Amino acid sequence: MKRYWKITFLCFLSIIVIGTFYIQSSLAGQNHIRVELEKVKGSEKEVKDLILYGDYVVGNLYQGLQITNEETIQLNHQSFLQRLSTDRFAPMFRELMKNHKGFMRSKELNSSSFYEDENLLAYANVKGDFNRYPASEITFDIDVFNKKSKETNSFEVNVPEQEKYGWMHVEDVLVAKDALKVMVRGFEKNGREELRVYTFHLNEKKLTGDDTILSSQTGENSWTEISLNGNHHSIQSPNHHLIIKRAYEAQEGQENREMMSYADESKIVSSEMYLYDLEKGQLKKMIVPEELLQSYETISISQSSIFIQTLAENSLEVHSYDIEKEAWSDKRTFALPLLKAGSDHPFIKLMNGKIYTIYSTDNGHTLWIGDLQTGESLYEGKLNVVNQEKNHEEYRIYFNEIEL
Amino acid sequence: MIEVKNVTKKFGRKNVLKGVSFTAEKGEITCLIGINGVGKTTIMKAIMALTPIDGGEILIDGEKIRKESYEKITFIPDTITMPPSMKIKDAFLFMADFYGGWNQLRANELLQFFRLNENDRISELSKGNTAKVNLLLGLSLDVDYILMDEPFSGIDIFSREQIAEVFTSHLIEDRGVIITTHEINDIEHLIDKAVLIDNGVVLREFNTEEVREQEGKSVIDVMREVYKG
Amino acid sequence: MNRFLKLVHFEFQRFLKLYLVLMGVIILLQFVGVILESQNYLSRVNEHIYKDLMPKEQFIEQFGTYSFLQIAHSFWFMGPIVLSIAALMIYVFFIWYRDWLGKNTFIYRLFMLPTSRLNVYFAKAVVILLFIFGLLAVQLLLIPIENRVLQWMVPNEYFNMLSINEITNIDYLSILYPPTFMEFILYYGGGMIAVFIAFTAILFERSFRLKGIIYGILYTGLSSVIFIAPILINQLLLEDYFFPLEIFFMEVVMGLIVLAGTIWTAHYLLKNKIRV
Repeated sequence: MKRYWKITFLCFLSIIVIGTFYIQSSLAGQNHIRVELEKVKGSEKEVKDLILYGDYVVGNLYQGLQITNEETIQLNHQSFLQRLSTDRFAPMFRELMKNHKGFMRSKELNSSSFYEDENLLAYANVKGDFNRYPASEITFDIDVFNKKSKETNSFEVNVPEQEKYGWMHVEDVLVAKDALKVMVRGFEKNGREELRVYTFHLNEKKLTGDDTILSSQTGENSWTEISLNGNHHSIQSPNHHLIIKRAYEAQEGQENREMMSYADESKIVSSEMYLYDLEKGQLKKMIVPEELLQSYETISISQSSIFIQTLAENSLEVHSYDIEKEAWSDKRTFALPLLKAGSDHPFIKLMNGKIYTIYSTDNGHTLWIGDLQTGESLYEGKLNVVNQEKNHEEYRIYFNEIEL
Repeated sequence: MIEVKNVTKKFGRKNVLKGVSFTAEKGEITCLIGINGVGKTTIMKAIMALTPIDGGEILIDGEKIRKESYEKITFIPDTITMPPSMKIKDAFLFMADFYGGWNQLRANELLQFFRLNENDRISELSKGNTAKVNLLLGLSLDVDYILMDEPFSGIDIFSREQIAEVFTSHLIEDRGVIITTHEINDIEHLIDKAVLIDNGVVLREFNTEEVREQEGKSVIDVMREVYKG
Repeated sequence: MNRFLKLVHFEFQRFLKLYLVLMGVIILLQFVGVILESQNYLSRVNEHIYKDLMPKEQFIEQFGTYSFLQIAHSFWFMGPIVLSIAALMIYVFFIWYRDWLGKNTFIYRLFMLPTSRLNVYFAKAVVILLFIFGLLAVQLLLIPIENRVLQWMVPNEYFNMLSINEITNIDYLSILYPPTFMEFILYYGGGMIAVFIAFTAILFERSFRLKGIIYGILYTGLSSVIFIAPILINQLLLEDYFFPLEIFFMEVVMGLIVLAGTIWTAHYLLKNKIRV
């Protein structure tokens, strides 16, 4: 019997060492960092249902975090099966996948491709390989699920003028009466960009309308870019799309370089802002003061107004623009206590008439909530990181989303 | 009894065995006789399921070979069936570990008889001694049937005499032995049955005692007759 | 079962010497690496701070602090690991061929044992798995020791102490030591299926020699295709119809099917087609 000691030893050694390693690694996972909200001023009910998403970075260690009043979930530490399940998809898709599992199959998870209201769930995407040679078919893939009749209406329509495009991206989908409208940003092979709205008649399953709203130009040393201020965390269509069109000019002496490297060496010649109402199909140009156009932090769109936020010394300025009246109202200034100058850009989000911001201070981060209408501070709290490992003094958290 | 029934086998295009049939009884020494390459070794390997056959059937005591059969039948090829790095006593341990029928007493007896030391390493042994160890390993198993492939090949005359002595001893007595060899002279007097093979078939299968008495011929006489005539 | 374990022990003993040498090489090279690499860094520190009179903070800002991360990326540390992996991969084949080659006819003995020949097959596989786990365990023990030695060698202000979990999180190490136990089982289980497929391919070659090599390669190809069939079909034909979790379960089933097929094929070859 004792001649078997070597192999028995190796077996036990392996099991014990590897087993211990995994036991301690799962325990370490539980003893994890927590981010707690400590109220400084204001009403606690403001933060009751809040979910903060952030990235915790120390050295080369990166950890995704999901923070609520009760718990902090470390996204890296989810179990293997959790990571495979729908939990790993963004919250907005999780609901859809749960309720409409069949409908969600074979769909590209692009929030702007979906539209939902009480009657139906719709999906429109551009399908096909733009880079294939010989060219393959590029089509609109449209699926509409009627919640009342539980029937799905699916059809495909060829994309007109598809040869001239190198890439198309669906920016918004809207259904009104029997018409499905799809707003698409098309990137032509020659560098030009277009913003186009396609209208489909659902019952007839045909393309009935095709409008080009905006297009860019390219010249020898200048070009324009169109960008949309999109919200990628919700499938709801904004009432208005904010479109920014910027014209760039290359600096002198850069003729022989690749276009790609112009990033910091080009000059913005002009900026224009437009508002587009997808439902009504109306494009309006906004008159925006020059300083705002050049330096703003974020832009948010609500039902009736556009809010542009800029940072001043110790405060956040919100400039609102009434869409109906096409006029700017006075700016609101929110004093942000302890705002560290020159720090990373704070996270700002406007929700339900309130402005939420997380910014870094000298000793951590502060969450500040203000009322847009009144300009009052509703809540101020410190975000404390608890339970850190001792050598993690140098850390940063980049917040990237807040939800209710 | 080992029954080989109509066994065929091809090696690539070459038809080596074209329907070989013979039997080997327990308690008898059966000798397969034939020229080099006629397929004697192949037949033995086939009996031991160490090489597949294309047609025919091989039965040991009425049944096809199974894993338990290896406690009843063993094969002593012309090369040693143990890792050369092993010492003789390691080989004994190995055999004892796996075979219920391993007879350590007989192994020690044979070790003494062949004048070998259990601490000798197989790789360091001479060819003659290696053959002896090989033989020893096979004979120390309490099996019913022993197959031996050229046990005398390349062995010096004195070792050969020693090995031949083993044949006559109680070590073989009531077992069934199938042997192949070129050196008929050495064991002609020991063989009970001879199977003459040529061209993939059995030319003649006969009991040596009977033929000697009835036809007055020795095995070699019969061989001459069959192969030349 | 008893005979099976004895076979495992036998196979274990045969490779043990080489295995211990391999471990010795790992330990030696890795410790030498810790010493040499850290000295390298320190001499750079000395050069910049004492010769060029760069302030400490600037040095740290420009060149960074030192931690096990640099060791893990050094040749002294990675080399032995690569060597071990290569050695084991070669042994997957050699563990069979060594019984056939040269004057060795030990394969005769293995196939004449009063035990199922599949036990020989499994014993060889089990011992390979044991050797893999052994190396993993030893490396896992070495890391904190090497880390501690590193800590002794590098002054505190330049040293960043990483935890074992942070170290095993480093790129290739997180493949050897997957983050969760379930993934560990899945990946090494999958690896063992690959070993079984290799074994069966070897048996094809040993059964049919030259033609056998072709059969072996075809068999390996077929098994691989069957295994990834769900993923292929889902992406190429069905446009991602199935959700990841569903694909995962299908893959597990496929893995088991491939495993069963491989073992059955090996059994068939060992019983009916193998020749010594």
